[in-house]
Amino acid sequence: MKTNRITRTRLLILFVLFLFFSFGGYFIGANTEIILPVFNCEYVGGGTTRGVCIAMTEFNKHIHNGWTFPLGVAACIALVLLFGRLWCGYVCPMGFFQDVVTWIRQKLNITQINIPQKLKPFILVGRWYLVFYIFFYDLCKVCPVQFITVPLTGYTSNTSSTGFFWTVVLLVAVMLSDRAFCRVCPIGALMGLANRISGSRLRKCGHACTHCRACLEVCPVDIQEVYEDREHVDITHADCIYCMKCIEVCPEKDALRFDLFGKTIYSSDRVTQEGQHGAEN
Amino acid sequence: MGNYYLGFDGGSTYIKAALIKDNEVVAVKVMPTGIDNDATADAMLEYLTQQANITREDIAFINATGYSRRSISLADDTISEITAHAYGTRITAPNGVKPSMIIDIGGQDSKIIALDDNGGVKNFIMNDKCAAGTGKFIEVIAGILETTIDKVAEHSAESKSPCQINSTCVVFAQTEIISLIAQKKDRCDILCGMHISMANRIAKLARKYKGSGQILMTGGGALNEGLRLAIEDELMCDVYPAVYPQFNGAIGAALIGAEQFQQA
Amino acid sequence: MEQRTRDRYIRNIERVANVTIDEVGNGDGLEFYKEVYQEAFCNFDQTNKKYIGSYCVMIPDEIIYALGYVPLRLCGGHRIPALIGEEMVPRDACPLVKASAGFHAMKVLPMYNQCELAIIPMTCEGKRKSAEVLSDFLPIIPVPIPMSKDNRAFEETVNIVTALIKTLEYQTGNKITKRSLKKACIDIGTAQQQAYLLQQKLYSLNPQIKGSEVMFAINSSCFVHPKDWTKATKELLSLIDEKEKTAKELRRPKPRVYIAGSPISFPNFKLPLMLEDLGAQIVGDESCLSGRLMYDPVVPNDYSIVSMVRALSARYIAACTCPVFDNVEDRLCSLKTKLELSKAEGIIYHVLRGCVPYDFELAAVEEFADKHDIPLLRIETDYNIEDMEQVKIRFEAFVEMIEQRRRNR
Repeated sequence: MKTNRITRTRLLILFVLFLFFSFGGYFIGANTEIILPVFNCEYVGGGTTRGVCIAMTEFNKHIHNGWTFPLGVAACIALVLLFGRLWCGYVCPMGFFQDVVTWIRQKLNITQINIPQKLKPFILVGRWYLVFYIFFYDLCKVCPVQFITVPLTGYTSNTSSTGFFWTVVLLVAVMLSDRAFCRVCPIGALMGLANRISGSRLRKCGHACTHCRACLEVCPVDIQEVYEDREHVDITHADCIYCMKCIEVCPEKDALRFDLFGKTIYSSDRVTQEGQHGAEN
Repeated sequence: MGNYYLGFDGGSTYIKAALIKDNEVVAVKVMPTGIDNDATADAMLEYLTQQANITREDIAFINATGYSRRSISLADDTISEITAHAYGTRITAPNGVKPSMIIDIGGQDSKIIALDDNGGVKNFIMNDKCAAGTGKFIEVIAGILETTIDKVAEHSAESKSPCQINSTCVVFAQTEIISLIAQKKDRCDILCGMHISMANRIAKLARKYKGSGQILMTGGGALNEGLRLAIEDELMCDVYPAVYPQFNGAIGAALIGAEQFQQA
Repeated sequence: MEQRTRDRYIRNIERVANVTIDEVGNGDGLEFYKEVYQEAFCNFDQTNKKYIGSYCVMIPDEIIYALGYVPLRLCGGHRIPALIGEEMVPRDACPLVKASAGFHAMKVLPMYNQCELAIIPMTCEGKRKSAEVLSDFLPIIPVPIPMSKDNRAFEETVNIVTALIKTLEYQTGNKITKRSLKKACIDIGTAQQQAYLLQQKLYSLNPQIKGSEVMFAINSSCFVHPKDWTKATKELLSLIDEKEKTAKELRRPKPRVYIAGSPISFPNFKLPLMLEDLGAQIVGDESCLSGRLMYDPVVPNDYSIVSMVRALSARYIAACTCPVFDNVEDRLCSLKTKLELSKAEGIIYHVLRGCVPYDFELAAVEEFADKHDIPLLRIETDYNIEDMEQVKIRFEAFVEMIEQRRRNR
C-alpha cells in the first residue's frame, strides 16, 4: 500500500512542461536563448527552449555568437548546481516520455526486468562514454531522442539508420525497465555530479528503516543505497532523479524525506487510509 | 505512636524481622519459617517489642518482603525482595562502602543486584529455580560431612589443597562428595572445594554487572566467611559482608515502609 | 481413536483455551475476537473450509488465500498439545513445535484435520526437523529460506516463492491468477493497516486498551478471514477513539514495558497477563505472532504477478527481524524505533525454552538496552504454568525497579 500523491503531481508537471517545450514556441516565440538542463531536441518544432545537449554538441559553433549563449550556459549550470537532478524527474521531456511508456507498460501488465546490480559498472562506463561522445562527436547523428520527441510534435528530422536502430533499442529498453535512458543519459551523468552539492537532498533516518526493500523495488533507477545505507543521513545518490517514489512507498514514519535547501518538503508515513492501493498510476 | 518501623522478610528457610527507628536498627530476630507464617510473625513481633521496650502501637508501619510476604497478614504493605535488598544496603553497608552491586545468597535462591549511583536497582539476575549456589547447598553438604553450617567457614579455612567439585546441582554434588569421602579426602578440603564451586557459579552471574564499584554481600551466605573469600578470589576484588547480612531484606522493607509512611 | 481419549483431549483443549479467553477477553469490544478463538479452539465440528498450514511469518498468506484455501498457522501456543507433542520431538525442542506436532497427533481440532498440506519454511532447527515429524500426518512442502539479506539472497527468495506458487498450484490443482492474488493482497493489506492503527493506540501516554488485548486481537487474525477481522478491528478502533476523548490524564502512569523475544501466541498469554496484573502497561511487542504478525505492508510496484511476488518476498522475508537471519542489525534498528515510539521504560526479553535463536541474540539486545539505558529482564519459560511464581517474583521486582527509576529522575 502506498500513496501516489507526488507521482501524480510530478506527472502533471511533466505533462504541462512537455506541452510547453513542444508547443510553447507558438505562444512565446520559438528557440529563445534560454537553455535548460534537459534533453530537448533543437529540432522540435514549436519548441521554445533549448535542451542543454545542443549547447554541448555545438559548443564551438555558438560560443562566438555574442553574449547570450555563454550567459545561457552559465545560467543553466547555476540551475543544475541549485537543484541537481530534480530537472530529470520534473522537467525533462524525455523523462516524461519514459514515464508514459512505463504507464503503458503497467497497463499492459508487462513486468519490468530488474537490472542486476552486477551490470551497474558497465552502465556507468556506457554513460561516461556518451559524455565523451557528446563533447567530441556529433551525437545528434545517432541520437534516438530526435526520433521520439520530434515526431511527437508533428515534425520529422534526419533519417539516419543508426539513429533509428538506437531508437528501437531505447524503446525496448524503456518498455522493460523504467527510465532506462536516464541510466545512460550523458547530461544526467554530469548533473549527477551536482547531486552532491545541490539543494535537493534525499535523507534517511537509518534506524527507522526496516530493510523491507519497498524503496528499491519502486526505484526507477535502482539505487541500492536508498535501501541499504543506514549509516548516512544524506543518501542522495548521483543517479537520483528525486521522483520520490521511495518516500511514497516507505511504510515507516519519517524514515525517508526530501529536503529542499534544508526545508523538509515531503517525508514518509504509513498509509492507513483504505482505498489507497496506489501503483496503478 | 512512635516512629518505629518493622520489616519482615519471609524467606524460604527463615523469617527475618528488623525493627528500625530513625534509620537505625533497634532489634532483629530470625526464626525458622514454620507452617504458620502468621503465628511466627506474631511471635517475632512480640519478641521485638519486648526487646525494644515498646508496645505494638509504637510501630507506625509494617512492611513485608520475601517469598511468603503475602502470607504475613500483619503487614500493611509488601515489596519485592529485589527492591528491599537494594534499600537495605543504606543501613547494612559497612562504613565507607558504597556498593554498586549486591550478591545475595539466600536459602533457596541467589541474586545479583546492580545498583545505580542513588542506590536504586539498575538491573538484577536471579539464579534459576534450583538450589545450586544457595544456602541450601551448603546446608545439605555440611550435613553429609557431619558438621553444621556455622562451622563450615572454619573448616574451609584450614584447607591446603581444595577438592574439585564439578557439579553445581545439589543432588549430583552429593554423589560427588560421597565419592570424595570414599577416597578419604579431608573434610576441610571438600568444604573448601564446595565454596570454590559455588563462588564460581555466583561469579559467573556477577561478572555481567561487575563494574568498578564496590560489592556487598548479603543474605545468610554472607555469614559464611569461606564462601565470601572464595567469591573474592573468583572475582579478584573485595567483597564486603553487610553489617546485618541476613536481615538486609527485612531492614530494606522497614526502610521502604518508613518512606511510604512519611510520604502518606 | 478411542472415544474416551478423544473426549479427554477435547475437554482439555477447550478448558485451557477458555481460561485465556476469559482472562484476556473481558475488555470492551473484544467479543469478536473471543468468538474467533472459541470457534477455532472450542468447536470440534467439521467445517467445509480447506486449510493449508504454514509456520512462521515467512510464508505469504496471500498465496494461500489466492488459491482458494484458508491459511492455518501451525505455530501452537497451547500447552495440552505441547505435552502430547513431547513424545514426538526431543525434550529440549521449543514448545511451539511440540504443540503443533501435538495438535496433529491429537486429531481433534477440525482446522488441523482439514489441513491438506503444510508449508514448512526452513527457519530454525525446530521448524526444519518438524517437517519430518509432521510428514507422518500430511503432505509437506519444505521451503528453504536464505539466511542472509543481501541482493543475491533476495533474488533467491523471489525464485523460491515463485517455485512455491508453482508447487502449490500443482498440488492443489488451483491456479493463482493476477486477480485472486491482488484481492488477497488488498484484503490482508487493509487488515494490516488496522493492525498498525491498533498498535499505535498503545503509544499513547494513557492507552485505552491493554497491551495483552492488542496481542489477543492481532493474534486472532490467524484464525479468521482478514475481511471480517478488519471490520471488527475498525469497530474496536472507533470504540477506543471514543474512550480517548473522555479519558483523564493518569496521576501515576503505569510503568511502560515492551515485550521482546520469542513468540507469544494464544492461549499462552501468561507473561502479558502477569505483567499487567502487577501494574505494568505493555506498550508493544516484537513477537512474530502478534507485534510483527501484521506489521509490514506488502507494497507491489504494480499488480503484475511478478511484482506482487517480489513485494511478498520483500515483506515476508527481507523485512523480517527473526533472529534466524545472519545479523542482528535489522532487529536492533526496529527495536530502537519501537522503543522510541512507545516510550518504553523496560524490556522483557521472553525466551521460549528451546528457542535458541532468540537466546543467541540476547547478548546483542542487552548491550543495546544498556546503551539506551533501558533495563532488560530475560525470562525463560515455556507454556507450563508451574514456574509462574518464580517469574512473578522477577516481574514484580522489575516493575518496582522501573517505578523507582522514575522517582530517581
